[in-house]
Amino acid sequence: MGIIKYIGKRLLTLIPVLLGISIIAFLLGTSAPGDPVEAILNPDGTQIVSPEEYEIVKERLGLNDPVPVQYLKWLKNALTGEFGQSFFTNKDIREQMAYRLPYTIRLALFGMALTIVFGVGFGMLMAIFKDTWIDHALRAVTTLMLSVPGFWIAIIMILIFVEQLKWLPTSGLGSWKSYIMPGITVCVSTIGVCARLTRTSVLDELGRQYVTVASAKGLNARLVTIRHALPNALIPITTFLGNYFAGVLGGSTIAEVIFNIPGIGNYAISAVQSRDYYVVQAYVLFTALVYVVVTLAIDLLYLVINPKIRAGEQVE
Amino acid sequence: MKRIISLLLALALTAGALTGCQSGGSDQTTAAAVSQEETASAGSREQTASQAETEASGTEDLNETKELVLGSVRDMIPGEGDAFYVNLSAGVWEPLIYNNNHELQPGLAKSWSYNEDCTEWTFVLRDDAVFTDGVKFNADVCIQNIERYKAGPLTSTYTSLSIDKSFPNLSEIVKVDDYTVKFVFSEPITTLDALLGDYGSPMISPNCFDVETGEITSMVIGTGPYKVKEHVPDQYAVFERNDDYYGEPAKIRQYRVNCIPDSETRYSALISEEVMGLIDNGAIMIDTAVNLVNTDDRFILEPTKSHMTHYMYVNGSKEYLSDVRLRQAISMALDRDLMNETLYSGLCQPAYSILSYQTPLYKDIQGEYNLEKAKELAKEVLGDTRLQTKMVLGQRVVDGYPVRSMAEYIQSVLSELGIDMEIEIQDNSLNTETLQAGDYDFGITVTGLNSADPYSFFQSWMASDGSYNTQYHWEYSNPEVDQLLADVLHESDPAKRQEIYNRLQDISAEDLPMIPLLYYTNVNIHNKAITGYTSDLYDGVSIPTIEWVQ
Repeated sequence: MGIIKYIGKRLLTLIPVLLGISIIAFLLGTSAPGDPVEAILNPDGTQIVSPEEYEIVKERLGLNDPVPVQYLKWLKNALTGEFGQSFFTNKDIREQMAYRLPYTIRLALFGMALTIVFGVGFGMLMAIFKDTWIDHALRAVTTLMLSVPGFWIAIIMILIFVEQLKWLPTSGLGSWKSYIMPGITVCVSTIGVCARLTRTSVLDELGRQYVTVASAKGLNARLVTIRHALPNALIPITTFLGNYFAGVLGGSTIAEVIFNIPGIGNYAISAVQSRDYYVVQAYVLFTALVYVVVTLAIDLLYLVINPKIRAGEQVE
Repeated sequence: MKRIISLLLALALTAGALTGCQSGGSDQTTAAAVSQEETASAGSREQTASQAETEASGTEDLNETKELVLGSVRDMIPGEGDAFYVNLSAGVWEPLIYNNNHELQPGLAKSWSYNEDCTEWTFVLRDDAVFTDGVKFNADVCIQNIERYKAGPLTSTYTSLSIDKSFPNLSEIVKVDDYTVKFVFSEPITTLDALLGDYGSPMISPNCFDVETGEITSMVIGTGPYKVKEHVPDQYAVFERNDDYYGEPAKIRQYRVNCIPDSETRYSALISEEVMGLIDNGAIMIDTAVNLVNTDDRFILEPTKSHMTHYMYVNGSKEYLSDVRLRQAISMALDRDLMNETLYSGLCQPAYSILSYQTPLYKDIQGEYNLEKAKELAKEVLGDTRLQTKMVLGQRVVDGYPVRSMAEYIQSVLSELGIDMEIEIQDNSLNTETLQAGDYDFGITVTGLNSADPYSFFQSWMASDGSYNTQYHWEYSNPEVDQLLADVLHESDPAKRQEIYNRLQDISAEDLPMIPLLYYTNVNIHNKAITGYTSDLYDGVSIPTIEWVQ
């Protein structure tokens, strides 16, 4: 019951947060330089736009209304799940988001899987084999990973696996092979950070008294690490991974643009470039929602990972 | 150690299974997307290519068995919501008139004529064109299409479509017979055929649009040499030959256009032979293409004239810059041949006339490069004053062309004339606002003609009340230009129109309301495995003529 109340309370706090975000995003969109009418009628900069055409399109888009009226109209529709049509492509924004979201989710899951396997895995190895050659080698590798920008990795991979070896496609999503390079691009630096965080957390737990007691009682050291220290060490790692996942869901823009994945990030970039602020607005709301939901999910996950937290909640 | 490795292996397998499940979902989502576009089910791009290659083995005609894959900057099919649905160069729909490098050629209209005062234009339509859904093209269908324009302006990623743009002052459409249509105008119009070129007169089957809203409501159906077979939005589009096409059939049975927006990725796709050629404006930088052709003999470059021209804007509302002598000094100080050689490997052409060298109305005007004379002229205007100026560049031109290097060269030249210039690169929208606010001294743009009739171009750039001239603070005014523009609007004799446009070009080269720099070239790079890669459209590659080298 306590958990349900807790979730309900957290969901209620979403309303003012999302409302505030939507107002800020709308004001930023409308006050930013640029004219969506000009962008629509003169997309490549070579067209001569007549004043009559300009006025018709401006009226049709509702841009003659005062900004507060535009916002309220948009908000009314958004509450019913309608984000309107893109200024630029005339396509329904909700449909477009629904079409693009699965691509972003797939990419995020692929990146997440790689991060869990290699990030947590490397971190565990480094902690267990602290100060051995394994630890030193993996620390060097992870330092390299977190200091190399994703776009550079993308370019290098394209050079090797596309131009030279011709093993992978440059872009598009024809098969599972298409996810390899974008997946690595979105998670390479995260793996580095995750591995170092895991190492620190696990070592921190291994230095605690309960580990010393367990070892003194003759329990196998690796068993102590995996069964006792790791669950406690997972809390900061879970927070980190949750935020990373929310970030990638919000659009891993670089990977999506380079590898032409028609995800949310790619959509947002096009919208920003064409001053399509209904799309930008929908995107901002979506990412805000993702962050809030993921944060809530992380908090709930704590309860599963560490029963002590659940006990504390019940006491309250 | 073994247990840890086992644990890691288990984690890896779980992740693999998770990803595998997601891959399964991928096909479903893709299929849903295709269904959204009412296309056939989406298959794997690689799979199709490899199947096609397998089929191509042996002695079969490659054009019939092997799919051609091209790379483009944008999705060839913007789809529903777009006034044209699919790029003209895809060969799906056809206009009444083609604008072949600014020469007007019959499309679905076989011929056309007009009365003495140019208020009635009569078009004779083809009687053998059939849409791919079986509907015959005739006067009724033509009229229905034009009624659709009345719902405009219908917007598009290419250009907008509206009745006022294509048929200004249209008062009546008369069906003369099944294959003849007459358009009656309340005001004389001398260049209707130019306005109808290409995107000015798309003809599509009445089954795929709503006359009231003008919107295309399902997959576009045209009369062209190809039809849409499959489309995954923002990924790729597959086109199949229309075997019932009335004209010369397309050479290749099936082609695919992969949408690859990133320039580096496009280049890699070409190198890896994932695509056989690149299409669309700005698909590859000229110097990159030249380097590739020089270092890799699998590729060939077929340069053709572009309608795009590089111009330098000058803010005429600023002190000194309104003086024509200073603009002439700047123009004279710029070594266009050097810019061409350095930035474009000599493939472009120095520009001195305001009008694109692609149009038949272009007049070949040769200017002069003389730095010493330029310094003297500048000294006459500036005296001992050093002018502090700012050049603003929009991100669009910086991304598409080596304009930044061009600006740096101009910066060095201007300093010799006593003009210090800082360079500011701006987001496109901010750049437009800066130009409109007049908060700049110089700018560089790369722009072209949007129709075979250059009237609106001259009007907006050179007329005293021209939209660009006033909005961007060029403040150019010449009564002779205004009179010539008024005259040309009512001049029905093509020869006399040519004379007027010649005179306008002479004036522009003398007065320099803006300074032409270079005429651009389309590079049309492709793998030598294909041939027939020509540019006979308005800056587009003609796909029906492409074929595999057997």
